[in-house]
Amino acid sequence: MTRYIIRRLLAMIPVMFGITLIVFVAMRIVPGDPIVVLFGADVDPVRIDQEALRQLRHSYGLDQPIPVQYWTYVTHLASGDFGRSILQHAPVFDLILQRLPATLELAISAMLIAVVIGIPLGVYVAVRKGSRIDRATLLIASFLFAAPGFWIAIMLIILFAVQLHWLPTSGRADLSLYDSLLVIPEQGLAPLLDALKHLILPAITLSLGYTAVFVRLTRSTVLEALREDYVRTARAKGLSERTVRFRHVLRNAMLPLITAGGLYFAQLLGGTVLIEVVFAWPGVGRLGIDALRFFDYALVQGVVVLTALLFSFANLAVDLAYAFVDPRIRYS
Amino acid sequence: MTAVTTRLGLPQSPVAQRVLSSRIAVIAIIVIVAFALVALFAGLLAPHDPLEMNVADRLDGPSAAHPLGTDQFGRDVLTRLMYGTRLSFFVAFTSVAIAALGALVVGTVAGYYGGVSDFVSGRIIDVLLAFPPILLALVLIAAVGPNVFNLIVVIIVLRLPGEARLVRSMVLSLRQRTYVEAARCIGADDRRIMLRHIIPHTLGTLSVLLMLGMASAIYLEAAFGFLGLGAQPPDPSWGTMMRDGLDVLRRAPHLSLFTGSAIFIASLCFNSLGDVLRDAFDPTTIRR
Repeated sequence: MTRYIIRRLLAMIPVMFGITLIVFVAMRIVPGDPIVVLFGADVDPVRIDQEALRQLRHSYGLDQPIPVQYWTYVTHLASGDFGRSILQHAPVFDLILQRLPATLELAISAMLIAVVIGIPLGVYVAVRKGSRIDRATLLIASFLFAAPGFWIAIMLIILFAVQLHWLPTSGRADLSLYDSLLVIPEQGLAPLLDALKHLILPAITLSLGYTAVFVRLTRSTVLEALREDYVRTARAKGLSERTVRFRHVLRNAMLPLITAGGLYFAQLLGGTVLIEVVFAWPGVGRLGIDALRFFDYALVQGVVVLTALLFSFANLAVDLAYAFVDPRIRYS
Repeated sequence: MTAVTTRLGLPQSPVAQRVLSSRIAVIAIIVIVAFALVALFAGLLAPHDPLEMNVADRLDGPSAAHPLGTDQFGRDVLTRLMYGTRLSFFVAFTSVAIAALGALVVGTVAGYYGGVSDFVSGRIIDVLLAFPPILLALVLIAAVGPNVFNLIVVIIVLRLPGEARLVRSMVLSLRQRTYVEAARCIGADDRRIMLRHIIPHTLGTLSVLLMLGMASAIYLEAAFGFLGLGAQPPDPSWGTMMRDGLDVLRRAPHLSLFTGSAIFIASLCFNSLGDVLRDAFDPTTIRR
């Protein structure tokens, strides 16, 4: 097991190398100059003090040949240094760390909604296969799966924020969901409600497609498990239908669900970008988009490399979870 | 359909019949054909000029002159939706078709010959698949500039690696089949084995991917147009129209509503057709 994990971690190194190379080259092709942005985009380029420009460029190492710049970047990265944001005058790593809780809060809430609704509903309709409620659920699931998330977001904003005035149109509460739980003793439930009010629309929007996937996947894996011989055996020896469903069917149906869960969570982390933009949610995705807009090389690179790292680790975790759930699987 | 399946040497009746016996599939095919016709003949069908502005009629709701209302420049929404269909379908079809073809070539060569070609393509695919897709697309678009051609290239880059890996894994197992061995025994060369005995068997799965790919490419075009990274205004595309709609959400929600519905319906049809095809190609599926 340990050897397997080490091998997987080693295999990540060339992949990360490739990722940095692609992002680095892409950012250098981008037709824009962070130093000029720093001086203010509206300033006439001819009137900028060329000497100051040269010095600034030099201080960020941007006057070096690109292969040298890349080498510097990768060697620093290897020691955990993600570089500094040119425009925000702060270490990239800190900037991302600041925004990460917002993205995690959103992604984890969406995932929870999808799992808590999707899996029980999937089991419920699977044992009622072919019934009216089964067909209706499948139909709604395929609708949710096909609907573009950012469009749903806009429709929900129109309904709940613009028309009904129940929820804010965008943004995040002053306190995170976690912090608002901590302050309940002093400030009561108001901060928690505020946090939830801000979170609910983006989280639901993000979860819809995944809920649909979980319903369909749970339904099909449960149906498959119901056909197995051991289910017939369990019933034959007189176990209650409830015990059969939970102990024999659902447990065996979990494996594909765990894979899907892990993969979709990884996808969620990188896929919150659009939702963050529509709801003005201050997460890593928006940080990346803004950095891209202002050609903040190091920041864009940092966001992409860190997200890709999270992505790879999530995939590894999924594979390890397999072995945990299914004792027949052994990695060596 | 029948002619195609015969030529590819697939068991002809079951798949086509299964697909056509599904009511959902038939509806989806009809709607997709309708969209395709609108895309092809937008110039003849559209009631107005997609770029014609009319400040007096800004943000009007549906009326006889403008069945789906007008946008903030007084342009006819129905007309722009029709031209938008042309652009969205063009982007989606071109990118998905090229990606599938590329995946077929890369996957077959890597899976059949193995060795260096497999190693090199495998490592490149590893890197591309390790990127969160939306972020990869954003970075690439930023580098090469936002326009329709670049968007097509980026969608190809997003789709090709996953599909190539899938084709490769199918080819790896198909290569071991006894009929491939038999073909080799009677002197068939690699080219013939690949074209006649391996590739046809991957097409079923690939056709499912094509449909799901169309749905996701339409979504990507809309998402990138929406972010200002795809088609550029004033060109009508579903994405740019969603963006226009967001700006005037409070005064004229009909703009977002109609444009989003078009994206939704198109994506729903391609997804449903993909689902039906998957069941149809899967012999273990029990008919419900």
